[in-house]
Amino acid sequence: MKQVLILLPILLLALVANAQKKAEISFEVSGVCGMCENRIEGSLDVSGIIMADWDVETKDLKVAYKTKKISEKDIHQLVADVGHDTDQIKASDEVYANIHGCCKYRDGASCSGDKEPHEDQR
Amino acid sequence: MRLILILASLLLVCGGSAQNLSSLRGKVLIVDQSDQGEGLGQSQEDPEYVGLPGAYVRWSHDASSTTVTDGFGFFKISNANVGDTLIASMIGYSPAGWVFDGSSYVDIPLSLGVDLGQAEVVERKAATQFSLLSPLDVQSLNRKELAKAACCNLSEAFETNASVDASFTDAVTGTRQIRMLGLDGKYSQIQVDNLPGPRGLSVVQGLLFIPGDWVNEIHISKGAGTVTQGYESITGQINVALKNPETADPHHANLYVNGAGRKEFNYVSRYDVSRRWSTAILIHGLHNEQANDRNQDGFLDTPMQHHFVGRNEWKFKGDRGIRGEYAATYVNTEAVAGKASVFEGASDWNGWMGRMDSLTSDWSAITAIERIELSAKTGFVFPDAEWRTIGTQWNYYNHQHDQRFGKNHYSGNEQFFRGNVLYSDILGSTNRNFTVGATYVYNAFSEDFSVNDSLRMSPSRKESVPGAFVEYTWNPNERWSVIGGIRYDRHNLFRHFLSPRFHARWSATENTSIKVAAGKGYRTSNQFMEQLGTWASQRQWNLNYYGKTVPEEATNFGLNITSKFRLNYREATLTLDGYSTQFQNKLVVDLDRSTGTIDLYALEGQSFANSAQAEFNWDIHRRWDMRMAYRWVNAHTDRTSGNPTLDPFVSRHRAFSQFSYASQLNDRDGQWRGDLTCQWIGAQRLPTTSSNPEAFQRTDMAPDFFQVNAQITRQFSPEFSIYVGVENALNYTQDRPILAADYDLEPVSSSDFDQYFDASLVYGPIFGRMLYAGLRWGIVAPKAHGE
Repeated sequence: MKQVLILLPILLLALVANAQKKAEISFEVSGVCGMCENRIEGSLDVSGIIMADWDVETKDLKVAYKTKKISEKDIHQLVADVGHDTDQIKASDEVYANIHGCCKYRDGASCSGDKEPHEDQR
Repeated sequence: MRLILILASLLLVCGGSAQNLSSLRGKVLIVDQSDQGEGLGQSQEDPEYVGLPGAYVRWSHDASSTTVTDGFGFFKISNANVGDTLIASMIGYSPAGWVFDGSSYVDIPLSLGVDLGQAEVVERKAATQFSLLSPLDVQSLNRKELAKAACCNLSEAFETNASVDASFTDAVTGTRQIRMLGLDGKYSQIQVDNLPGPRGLSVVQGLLFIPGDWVNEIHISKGAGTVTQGYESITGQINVALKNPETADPHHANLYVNGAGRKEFNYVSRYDVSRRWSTAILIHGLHNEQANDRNQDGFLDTPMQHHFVGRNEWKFKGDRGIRGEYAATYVNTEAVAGKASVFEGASDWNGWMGRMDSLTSDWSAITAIERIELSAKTGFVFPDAEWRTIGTQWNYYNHQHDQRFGKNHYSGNEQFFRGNVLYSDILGSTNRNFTVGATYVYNAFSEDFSVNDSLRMSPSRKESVPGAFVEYTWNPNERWSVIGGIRYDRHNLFRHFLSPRFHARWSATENTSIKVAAGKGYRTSNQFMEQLGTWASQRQWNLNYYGKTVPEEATNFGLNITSKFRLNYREATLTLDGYSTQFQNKLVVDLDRSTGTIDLYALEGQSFANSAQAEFNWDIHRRWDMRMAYRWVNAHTDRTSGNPTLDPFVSRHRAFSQFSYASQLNDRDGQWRGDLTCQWIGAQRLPTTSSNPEAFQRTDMAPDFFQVNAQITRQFSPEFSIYVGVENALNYTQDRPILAADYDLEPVSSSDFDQYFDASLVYGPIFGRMLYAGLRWGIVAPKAHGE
């Protein structure tokens, strides 16, 4: 019985491997910095998503998901709901207004060193 | 501190080759708050900006480009390419990025506060990191990893690590020692903040003086390692980075209690004293006066202890590239163990400790340690050439160890002083750099060993070792990097020590790297303190090397393959390694000549330890991580008169698996975390007892066993969390661990006890299942300002 404990990972591996149908997509999401990355990837921390990885440099979001549990459109919606435009769905102005000043990608890369103070900087 | 972690993790990701292009000048700014009133509703117009000295500026893709702003906040950074991202950061401020557009000057404002969002980026990083780019085989354990087992001190911190084995030295004192690559911890160079740590007389017990809650990171490097820190590394280097004025939280307190009666308190805080000076205070207290004898053998299963460790560190950040770290540490520990009957009745702590001074009939083990440690590190970065640095490291300690185990009394004092000066520069480009330096070590030992209160031996020696070294690092391209070094030390007692060491890394693909290592190391031994376990027995010390200390000498070769890949879309790491250590000279410990002796003599014949390890880490799910590892060891030493050659107390096989769960952070950044660690420890050879009467015999091969630890942590917010856990959940205990203790109804006669008592034949846990609980409270780094 104890041996089972050591080998538990293999059982889990088997469990995961024969799961349902999966798909991997990749699309562009606007954003600026590591905080954005965190927010974007965090928005996809829901059931059905296997992996979400956003690249700060290329603005490319890679998502692997279970097609039975979540649709591509849902994924775009989830990202837009936290304030980041995808190439299919734009974030609403209200949500966008609430994201951190240094992430306001629509107002020019404000995370970069423009000499104006950020909006939320006193 | 988080920024440092972020930068450190970026270092792992960034390689990059530099091309000399145009350079960029600029200034890092912050809002000047000195002449402004506090309060909300402050006008946002015309905030006054001032330069920020000491901020880090670097290209995002090239960690080696890091430069520091001068006293007015100005910086100059070379290799500017249009489109590259410049990152400016400073503790206490949100880092800012800026994309280089070809201009020659830029102002970069930083806003106050560390964003929690940034912190989460760190939290998501794996708790154990394997580097693909460093030529050294280094594994880094961060606070998250260390929190998986509520380790009380460093000897317990390796519970969740496959590369380092931890086991008890004996059945009474509760002291743990570590093993790496199948060899005792004394063959690893253990450092604290890159300065000599547990070594000399404290080589085994020194791990107890490093409270787990003080540790920020542990770097485990297998193989010979760097030459810049001395000749003492044989199987590898373990560097413990303590929390310091930069990495500590403003306040952090930890309380811990366990079922064995141990109560611990840790407190770490830091203060910014001025713009240049900051300080950290670290306090650790441990108290245990509970007498545990669960296996009813008349001996305490766990020691009773009083520990106090305190540390104060000062950090200096000058405007023109000067950095300094100055620390003082004080350790005072007292421990009593032995026959349970000693600790019944009216006596108190002072009475028990008083047994140190006089010979008593009931067997007890009394230990007192007092230690003072001072260290100073000063570094200088040339303002116009960030790659050119001078570093000096000075440290001193005085270690006093007194103990009485049964009839044997020991009193040892060690004085240690070391100075190390390093100069680093490049040869033409940053792809070729070198470090040269010189070291001086003074180490004086004076020991008294008496049996039945008559002095048997008082070895003393003074080591005085000047040395010099050079190390060359070459990164010809992204595929290759090589570190080669050699050091020469002139030992006043033991001739010349020449330690060549070599490490190379070749990246077969972007995600797979192959590393080789070869090197040589030396050490001088201190037989009494290295064989601490034997003290808990009636064995007589036979020092057959005529009082001379043998300098041990060994060569180590290793190969490591690390591969990162995606499995089911999620990140996984597979590490395979093999190491071989060959001794040219060794102080052989022989417990097999007779059950009544410990024989120490110089190696004749051969001694080696071969080890292989496979480790698989997988980020299995958004919430789950797992790790599986298997380790094989063959440790062989030729002993005289045909005694067994297999090293005792080393399990040939060890398997390990671990699961970690972390829930989604709630809106207050609260979280549930769970960790489960299962280990299988294979059979170990025990010193033979076949010549004893049957009641005092044990098997020559210890049985294999399983060990399961689990812990649940509830983090209410980053400031406050509580945890409960269980060690040895299956309640496995070693069968009758102490020879000549009262396991049967018939009491053991005192003459039998005097002849056969042995509590050092320990292969597994003594205490059985143990529950513990604790809490962590703190004030984390300042949050972002705002509404």
